[in-house]
Amino acid sequence: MASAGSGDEKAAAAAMITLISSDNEKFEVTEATATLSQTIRHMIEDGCTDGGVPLPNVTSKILARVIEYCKKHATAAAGEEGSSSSFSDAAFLEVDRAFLEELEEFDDAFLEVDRATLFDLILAANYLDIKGLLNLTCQKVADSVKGKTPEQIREMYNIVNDLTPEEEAEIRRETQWAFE
Amino acid sequence: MALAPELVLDIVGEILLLLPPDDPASLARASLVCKPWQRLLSGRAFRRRYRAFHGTPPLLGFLHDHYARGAVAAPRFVPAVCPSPIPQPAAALGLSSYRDWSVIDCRHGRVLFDIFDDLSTSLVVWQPVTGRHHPLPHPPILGRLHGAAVLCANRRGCDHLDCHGGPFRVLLLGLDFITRTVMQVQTYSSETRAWNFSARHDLRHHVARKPSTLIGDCIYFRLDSARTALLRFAIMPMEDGSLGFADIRGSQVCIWSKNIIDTEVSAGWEQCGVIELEALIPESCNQACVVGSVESSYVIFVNNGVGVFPVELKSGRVGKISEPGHYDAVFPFMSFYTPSSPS
Repeated sequence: MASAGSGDEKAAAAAMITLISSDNEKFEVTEATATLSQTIRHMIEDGCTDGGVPLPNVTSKILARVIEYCKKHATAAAGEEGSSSSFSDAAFLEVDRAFLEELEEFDDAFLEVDRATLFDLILAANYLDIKGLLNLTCQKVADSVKGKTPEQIREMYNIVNDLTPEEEAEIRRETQWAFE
Repeated sequence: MALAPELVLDIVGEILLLLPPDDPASLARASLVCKPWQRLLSGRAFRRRYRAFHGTPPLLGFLHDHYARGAVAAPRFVPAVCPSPIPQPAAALGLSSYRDWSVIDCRHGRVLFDIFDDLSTSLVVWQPVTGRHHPLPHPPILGRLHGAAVLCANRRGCDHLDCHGGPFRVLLLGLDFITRTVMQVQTYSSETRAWNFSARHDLRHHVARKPSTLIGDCIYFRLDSARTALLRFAIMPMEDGSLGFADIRGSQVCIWSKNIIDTEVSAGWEQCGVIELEALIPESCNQACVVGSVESSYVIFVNNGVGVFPVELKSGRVGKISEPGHYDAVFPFMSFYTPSSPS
């Protein structure tokens, strides 16, 4: 797509940022990709990104996935901006819809991970303050909690029930309707 | 990965925030998972965030006077969500079914019932979410009341998403003791626990026992007259602050509005929209009529003999929430329902 291509060229000319994972792997990314993270955006604004940005809470495996997400979503954002001037309204809407569909497909495929990876992605999205990624990954967990019993939720997510039998009996009495 | 427990709880909060308000059971079940989840879900901070995040409270169901064969009418709650957290009013209020009582208004998380006993009227305000109910002192009117409304009395810019524990007011229309023909308006304040005379009106028509509508500082009641008694319609507030009503003519829902901002210049009713009902409700709509509306959401309720359908006038989206039956007037109950802390 022409617009997406021009977006890439623009991005290539922009400043590059080096991200360093907890296991010391370096990732070169464009500023547009990196600034989907509010945490990194603030670091860039404060001018403390020379020599790379150490991310001691994120492993290389997870950081690679996070960057994959940010690249896709940054490209989509740039593509939308580029296309608005060169297309008529109807064509723009068409491109817009195509973008959204492509992005949705990407997000669905992106979420096809095991539970441990999903949790690590949530922690990374929370630490890096990437709203879209946090929302996407949390929604996946929320969907899995919907319609489940407390026992099923505990089992799924390895949660220890620390409610006393008395507390549990009382909450159960008050929420009896939810089990009917 | 070793993590600080607070951080994990932060994320649990982000996740549980995304559980949909029209499925209150999922939140309730999540509160039984463990102590930290229970504390998080019943905390004020989560409750506030959940309401702010989702904005519009969900339709949990509606109340109406249910006519069962061989029995007197009694208020009933028809849930729109399953499972439903709202109990039946007769059980919640401890009123047996043979009493002469009916639902007369519902707003801001409160339901108003009119109980007629020993030739006088009593009113009860019920808060389905907290389970509390408040019997009001006998209003100083003759016989039965003609119309009544309940509303939040919080004057400091309330969003009415979580105000059912606060002060409320009840307004009623009834016949004057002395003249026996002139209608008077009485208001009750939950803060003073007393009725106060407000105004007297020489009304030539009866006030219909249908849902009232609140627009700004004004409550609107429908009048039953020879002409309007034949029409089945619902009044509602319009987006521009005008008073609207919706009725059904043939197979069309007609929406009308009337400018009420400047009452001196009464421009009359203007038709502002027509919606083809057949496209929305495929089943037979021979006797379709509008039986209620949602004050803040531009939703009307249509009964067509097959059931009651909430119709979103903007999107044309239609649901179905009840079995066939007699529905004279329905009072929608919109509210968030998040777990409460154990008493």
